[in-house]
Amino acid sequence: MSSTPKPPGSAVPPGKPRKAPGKKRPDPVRRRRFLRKCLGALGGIGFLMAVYPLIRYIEPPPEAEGGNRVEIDRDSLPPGTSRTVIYRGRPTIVVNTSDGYIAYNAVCPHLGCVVKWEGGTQSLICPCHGGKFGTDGSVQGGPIPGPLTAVELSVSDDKIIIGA
Amino acid sequence: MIRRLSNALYRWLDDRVEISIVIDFCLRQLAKPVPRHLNWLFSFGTVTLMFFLSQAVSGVFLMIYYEASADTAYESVRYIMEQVRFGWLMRQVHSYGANFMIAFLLLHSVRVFFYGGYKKPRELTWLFGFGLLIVTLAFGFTGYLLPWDQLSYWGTTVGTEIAAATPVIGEYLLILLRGGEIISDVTLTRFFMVHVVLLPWVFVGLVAVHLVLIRYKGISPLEGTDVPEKTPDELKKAGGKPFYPHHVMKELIVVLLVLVSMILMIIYYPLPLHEKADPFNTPVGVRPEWYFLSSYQALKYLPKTIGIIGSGLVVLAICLLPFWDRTPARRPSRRPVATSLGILFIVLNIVLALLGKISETEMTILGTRYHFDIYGWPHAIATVEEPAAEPATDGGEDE
Repeated sequence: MSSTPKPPGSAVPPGKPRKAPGKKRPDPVRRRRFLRKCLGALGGIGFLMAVYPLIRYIEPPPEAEGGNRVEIDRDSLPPGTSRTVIYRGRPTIVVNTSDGYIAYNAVCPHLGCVVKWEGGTQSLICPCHGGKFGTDGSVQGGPIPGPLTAVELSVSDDKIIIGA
Repeated sequence: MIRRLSNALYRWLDDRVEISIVIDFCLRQLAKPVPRHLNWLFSFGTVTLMFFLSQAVSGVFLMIYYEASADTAYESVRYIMEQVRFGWLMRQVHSYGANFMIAFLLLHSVRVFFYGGYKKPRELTWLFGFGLLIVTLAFGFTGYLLPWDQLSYWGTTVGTEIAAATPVIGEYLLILLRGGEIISDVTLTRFFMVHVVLLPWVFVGLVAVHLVLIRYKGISPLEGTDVPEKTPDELKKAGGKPFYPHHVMKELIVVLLVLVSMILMIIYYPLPLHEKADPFNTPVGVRPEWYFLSSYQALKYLPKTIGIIGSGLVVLAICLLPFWDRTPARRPSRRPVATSLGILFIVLNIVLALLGKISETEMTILGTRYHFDIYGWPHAIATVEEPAAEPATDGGEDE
């Protein structure tokens, strides 16, 4: 900005306030304070940049979440038996019942124990608190808040395929 | 709001444990002036400390997935690098960090030597610093084995073999180090324990005393030991700047520059994970890490026992440096013998390390193919024909 010469007599007389009384001037942002704030902001960004990979690092790796498709040989699951596999990171129970194959998320909705197949009563039992589920996953006894979650399953000539 | 809360917490703590005494003490320490001659070279110690912290953090994170067993160690490192999110970064930061930490610790020691910082009354600071150097090298040595690849396995084999040359107890020491005749699962677990439990605690203890001593005695002046040292007030009058924020800012800038260089190296020259360790298949040209290369090469020229005793004496001489170099002068120009000897020692180490690096390799220099034997001496083995004269052949260099 170029300064234009002031006309004579326009200078502020000594002792006279530059601003009208009552109007408060804002605190000037000094250079040191400004730099300190910039440095703080940069430090904050740097900190976040360092923390982000650390948090992502401790999240379960994609592979550890389990496959989207698990195959079991039909021969390995004779009628009346069960098998528990990891499907999408969770224990999943597959049972060869008299009415065909069924698959459920094996985690009991009560307190997270893993259910077992009981051939004698044709039911799934939670060993922790005596929960009991029918072959359709419905609650048949015990302090269970809800049914087991069914898992998609298909059968080929020699394989049972869990997941689409 | 935050300020009010922190003030309230401060008052609460001060009422109970008089925290103001500690805080006032720390603030006084921070405001202490440092001598005018402090330059950028005086930040190497801080850089080393920063790398120790970075190694501690990345090491703890690596331990989440690392499995210290001969069967699974290699696979777990591969898993970290390939499957875990940002696992490659964590492993590279740890591997590069180790190299950077040792490099800056060596630079820091060299700086202290040339500025005469080890002289009276700072002998103890030097001794604790020397302990930190040994612990850091031990960190490097034990950590090198953990990925369990061919390079780390055989590098550790030749490294531990040096211990066998110790007179009288050599063989026993070797078996104790390895936990058996060869590097095995037993070696891996004991190296792992030393690396993640024993050494970090020793390091923290040593560094705490080292830092307290530095703050207590202040930064070494350039005047000789026969001149009384300046008090903080005198230092201030002589143009000394407060440690905080002046010198701290300088150190932060160096730390940032070094971190950026490391990140660039990680991106452009990532350290590889070689094939899995095979105890029955020694690869050609095995050598230890660069920081052990000069002593490893020196041992090739000397009979084993003389070599090991000689290097032991050199290490002892460095450790006890303040006790046999008791001349008062600190400026490098005022002590030409020490300065020349120091430069000679550094050059000798660099030459030996380079010889170690090129030994048992082949190289083409000015049209002649040379084989460098274990001593690093070149032997011409073939004349390589000009590629232009023989455009269709690729196998001309094969021997």
